[in-house]
Amino acid sequence: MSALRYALSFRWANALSEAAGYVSAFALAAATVVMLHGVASRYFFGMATVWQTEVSIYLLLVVTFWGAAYGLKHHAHVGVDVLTDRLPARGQLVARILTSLLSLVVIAVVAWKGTVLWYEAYEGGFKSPTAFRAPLSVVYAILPIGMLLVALQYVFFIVEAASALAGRVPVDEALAEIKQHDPLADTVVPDTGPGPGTRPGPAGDDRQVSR
Amino acid sequence: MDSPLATGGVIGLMALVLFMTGMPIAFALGLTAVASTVLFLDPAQLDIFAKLVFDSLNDFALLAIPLFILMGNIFGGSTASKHLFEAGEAWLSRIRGGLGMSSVVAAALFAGLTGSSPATAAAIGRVAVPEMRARGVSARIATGAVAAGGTLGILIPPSITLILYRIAAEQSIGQLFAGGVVPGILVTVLFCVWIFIATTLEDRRRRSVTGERALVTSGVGSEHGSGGATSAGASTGGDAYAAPTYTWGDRVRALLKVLPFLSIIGAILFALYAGVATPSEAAAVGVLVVLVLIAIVYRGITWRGLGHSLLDATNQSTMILMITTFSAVIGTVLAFLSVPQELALMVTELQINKWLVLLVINLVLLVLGMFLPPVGIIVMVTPVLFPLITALGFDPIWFGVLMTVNMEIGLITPPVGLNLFVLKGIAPDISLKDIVLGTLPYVGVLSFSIFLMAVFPGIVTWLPNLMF
Repeated sequence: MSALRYALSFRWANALSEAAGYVSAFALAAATVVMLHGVASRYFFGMATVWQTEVSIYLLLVVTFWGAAYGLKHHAHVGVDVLTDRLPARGQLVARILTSLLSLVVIAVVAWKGTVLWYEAYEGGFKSPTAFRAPLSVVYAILPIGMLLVALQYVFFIVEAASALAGRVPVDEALAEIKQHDPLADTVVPDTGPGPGTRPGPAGDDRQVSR
Repeated sequence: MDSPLATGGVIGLMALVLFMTGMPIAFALGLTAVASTVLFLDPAQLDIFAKLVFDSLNDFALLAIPLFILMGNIFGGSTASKHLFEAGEAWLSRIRGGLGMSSVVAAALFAGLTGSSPATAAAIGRVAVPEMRARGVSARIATGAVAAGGTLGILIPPSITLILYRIAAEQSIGQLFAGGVVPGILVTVLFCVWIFIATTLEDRRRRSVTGERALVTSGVGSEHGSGGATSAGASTGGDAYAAPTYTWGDRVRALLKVLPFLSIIGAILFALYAGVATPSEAAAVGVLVVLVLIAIVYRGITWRGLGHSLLDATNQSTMILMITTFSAVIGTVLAFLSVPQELALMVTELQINKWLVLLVINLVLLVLGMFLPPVGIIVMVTPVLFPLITALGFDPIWFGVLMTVNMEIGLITPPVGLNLFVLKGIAPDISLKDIVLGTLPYVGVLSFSIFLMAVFPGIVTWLPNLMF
């Protein structure tokens, strides 16, 4: 029963988004390394950089489309919330459900068409039109998987907001979890903060460290 | 709907309404594109959506964005911003308002290593605001200098908005970056001039209020660094500007500390302008060099800090690139409906004075900037306006830089001025009203810069023309 309740609460979508974020961060590091390898082999050994360019672009797709779910969980996707912020707490929850549904429309279209694109590449065994000849069935899978992760995160938002409206979850708690953009979360980088979105400490600490 | 312009108007309105619901800008743009396709084109055209989304990111140049963000994050996570501020202070402390100017100069230098404005304001503000407050600079001048100085992040290369402009307008990134250099210096100097004026005005007002008391205490000069001074602030202004004295040796030492980073800026710019590397390659090399330098100079690199920089860069990149993706989609839909072309045709046929058109464009950008982040505006507006700009005979490089300065204003104007919120986060004890009032004059300074650049286009075009 509790396993079913957990499944229905969609809390596991949070864990998926978090994992997707770590994969994306790793992809970003990998892209940096691959590009450095490309630069080095071109300038020092005079070799062509066929696979480096292509692979780093595919890693960029992972950073963007899989990172999108992580960004959604951490409220990185900027939105204009000056109007909705004026609503009372329950109104904000309703607004959040509506905008999540609207976003899901776009995500569904892209995920669906992306799956069709992937399926065609998979059926036809398409390769990228370069010397590297990357299998497009792998490359085209990045987009629909990313959209699926984003969709799951949105479903969690909707379930959470609906439970709060039904009185099963405290309203403030749900709001804190699903609230739209926090302008600080993605801009302030603490020196040795414990995690993403950490606010800067009293800046005095900063000064004592290295004087 | 027969007129493309009317269709374009309806689509624009639809996008604005969706923005106001508070949904992420990326998905609001995507939904507008889906709805416009169904309404004005053919639902069968939705088939190309996935391909459009995919192809919009299938571009090696875009890799420069996450990598420059990563470079800035690694740099901002170190204590380097403190050294930048101290170097500025050592050289400027003798001038009236020198602390505020140091923040602006430090922000300008920091901007040379990052392409993001809120990141610049956060990194410099964390160090500069407490220091300025402790030494009696008023809340308004302190926060204004940092919020405004931070906006230089998108003007001084590397600049994320200019990379995005380049992709939409198909201009040379080297030329665009070069175009941002002189205006960047100009804006920095003008900001410093304003700090001098504001400090003078404040001193005069303070003196007339507190009378002799200020005169008696203004000569005492040893409050520096004392912990209790943080909250003493500018309430009465008794101990204002008790600056430590710097010898020339101190100044040179402070400069030497930041020299490695200044040389990275120089190296990256040189590599781009000389055509040695593409922006993406330069950014990858920049990440490595910054990492190594910080590991050597500050010994401050931890795996945890690096992981945090990577995750944070992922967050910022996905936000920017998702917006880029979906504005590419809506841009294609608009082009199918030939909206940008019709707009250009109509305005040129009406033979309106081109400077009037430019004024109107700037006002529209200003209003958009109050609500939307610069990256969103650049990727949405450039494809629509670009045919018009070239038809009117404006220089595309010049317009890109002009637009970026306009975007800087949006970062410091309410209701959605990102830098204002960053400052509020750094100094929760200062009211948002004081931050806004302290920052407002810089809107005037930036507008004046736009005016100067319009009257003397050479400010922008001189350096790119010299180099290419």
